[in-house]
Amino acid sequence: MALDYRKIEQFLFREARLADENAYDDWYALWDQHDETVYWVPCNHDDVDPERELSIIYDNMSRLNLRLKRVETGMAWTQEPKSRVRRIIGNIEISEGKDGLIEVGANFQATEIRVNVNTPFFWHGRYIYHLRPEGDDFKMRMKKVLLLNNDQEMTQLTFLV
Amino acid sequence: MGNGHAELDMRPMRRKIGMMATGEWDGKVDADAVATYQKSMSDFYGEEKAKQILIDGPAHAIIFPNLFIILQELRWSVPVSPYETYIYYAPALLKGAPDAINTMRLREDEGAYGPAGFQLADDIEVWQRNYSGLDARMNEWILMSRGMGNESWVDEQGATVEGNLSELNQRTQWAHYKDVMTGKYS
Repeated sequence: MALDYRKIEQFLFREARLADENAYDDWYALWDQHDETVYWVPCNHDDVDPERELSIIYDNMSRLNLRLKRVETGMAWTQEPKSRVRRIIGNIEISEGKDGLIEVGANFQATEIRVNVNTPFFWHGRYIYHLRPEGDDFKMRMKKVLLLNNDQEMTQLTFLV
Repeated sequence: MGNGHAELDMRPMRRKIGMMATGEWDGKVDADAVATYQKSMSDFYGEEKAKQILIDGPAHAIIFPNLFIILQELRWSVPVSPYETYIYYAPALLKGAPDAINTMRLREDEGAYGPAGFQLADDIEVWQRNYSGLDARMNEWILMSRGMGNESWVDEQGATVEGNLSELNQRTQWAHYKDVMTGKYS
């Protein structure tokens, strides 16, 4: 498989922008509708065994859909009004993964501003993506978010990290 | 229960309905795992007692001053300053139960609690906004009167019982806190 680094990077930047802008429908469309698809934010340490240990988020597609729909009700108070977010992605590393998937790692820094809080929130960590090539584009089979502070007390995490 | 402890006793309602806690797992975990769990409960407690335990279900209680047992979750709060409180949480897993059941409990806990859960994150947001409200110079009280004046009764173990939606737990906790902090026991 010839890996088109440029195209993969562009996908990551688009995914980040849609998440930043709370563009739920377009962001959800980037996911691979597959039994094993997972949006994952481990808790306490990075190498969580999801069968035996708690995560902060371990969403399959149905749970993720519910997560997005719930915010749209206007009753999810942490996102009412919605966070304003911009993130930078860098140190991108791309390799061939298992089962025809592409494995991508990248560091990120995100700034979140909540309308009712004066101080910005800063989030840092590393993303691990599993991408499935589809035509000229990609679908996310996994996005795993390794937060630097996943072993510390944490404020609400309700924007799309 | 005294000393600031309280429980929302759901047993009368649950006994009336008669549904076992395992019934709430339908569709979330395969039937074989549920059957295995029920059998191991029966083997340990005997069939009648096991059934009663599963019908009565988990607790919804406050252990003074800061431990909360909320169905399958344990939660404890630690005040850090007048403006900051840490809330720690952990799901209670079932020892010896099939893995699928405990994995389901992990997923349920993630869905409800934690920084990204569907319940606690928003609850905390409301508490934070209450604190902003307390900075106001008027109307400074938080009302925790839900359930007051509703029917209450004393159950067979001598505990005062109110309906399931009551804020009895919160009132009990803070009433005792006031007694402790104003030197009633010193």
